[in-house]
Amino acid sequence: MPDLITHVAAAHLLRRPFELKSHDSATVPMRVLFYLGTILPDILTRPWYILFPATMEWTYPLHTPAGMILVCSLLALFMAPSIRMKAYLHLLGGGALHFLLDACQKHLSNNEFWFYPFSWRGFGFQLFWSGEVIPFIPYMILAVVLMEVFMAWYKRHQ
Amino acid sequence: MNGIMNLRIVGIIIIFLAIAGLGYYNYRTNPWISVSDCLDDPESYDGAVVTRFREPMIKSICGNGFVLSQKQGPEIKVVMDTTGLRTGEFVGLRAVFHREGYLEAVKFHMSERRRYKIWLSVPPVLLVMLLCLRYFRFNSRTGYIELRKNA
Repeated sequence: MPDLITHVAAAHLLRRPFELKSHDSATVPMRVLFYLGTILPDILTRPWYILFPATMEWTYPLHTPAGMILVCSLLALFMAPSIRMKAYLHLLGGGALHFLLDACQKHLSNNEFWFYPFSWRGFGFQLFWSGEVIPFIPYMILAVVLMEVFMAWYKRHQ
Repeated sequence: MNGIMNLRIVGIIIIFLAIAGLGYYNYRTNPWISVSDCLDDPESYDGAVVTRFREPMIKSICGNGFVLSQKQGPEIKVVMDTTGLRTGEFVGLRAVFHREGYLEAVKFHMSERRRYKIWLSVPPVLLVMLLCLRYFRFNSRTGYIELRKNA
């Protein structure tokens, strides 16, 4: 996985422009759910895996699209009916972005089981090692700041 | 209203069971070979490719390789070129097990920034949790998570 700063920054850069034209009062909370969706696969699995590596055999499915669909469905059922579908789609969208970014990194073993539980075939683009992203974190943060400056400028001139 | 609530509870139970089922299925059917599997039955696993390790780290470097330690799991010697290796670093490894009780590296990567990556991932989690608390609240009367009025 890339670090979660990269995940959240990517989620912000992707989702924030949709607020340019939106007048929905729930758009900001939904963006927060998009962030949550993008960190969910890691926060549900990595802490356990790092602290208790033997649990990986049990928790790994939560880091697969099938597991994410179930987790997002579970969370959506806790949401008020008026926001449930939007919340579900934002959580799921964030999760999809997470898997897309994870698929870009190199692995020595098949690690991204997109088709689990139907197949153990790994999937990935093998573009970079996860640690190689870390020096680019300041640039990601800068991109987020520039996005916010642009959003403020746009709203002022609208 | 009660019918909808009951349906929701049934949905929550079904999804929870499905998640548990996925975990159990993974536990029972995963194809990953561990170092423990190999060391428990070296004859059967001779030549097997091991790709799954539990937080593998370089414990010490010797002439023709290094000793790999795991957080939960046995240590094992890995034979490979030691150029550039540093003790205490996390590693990614794909290696062939030999019945004599050592691994021969096929592919190797030193995860030098893994510790940074773990610690750098904490602030965004806290931020997202704070934002969730800022914009959502749990209504104990209805049992739903709702938008805050001032969101």
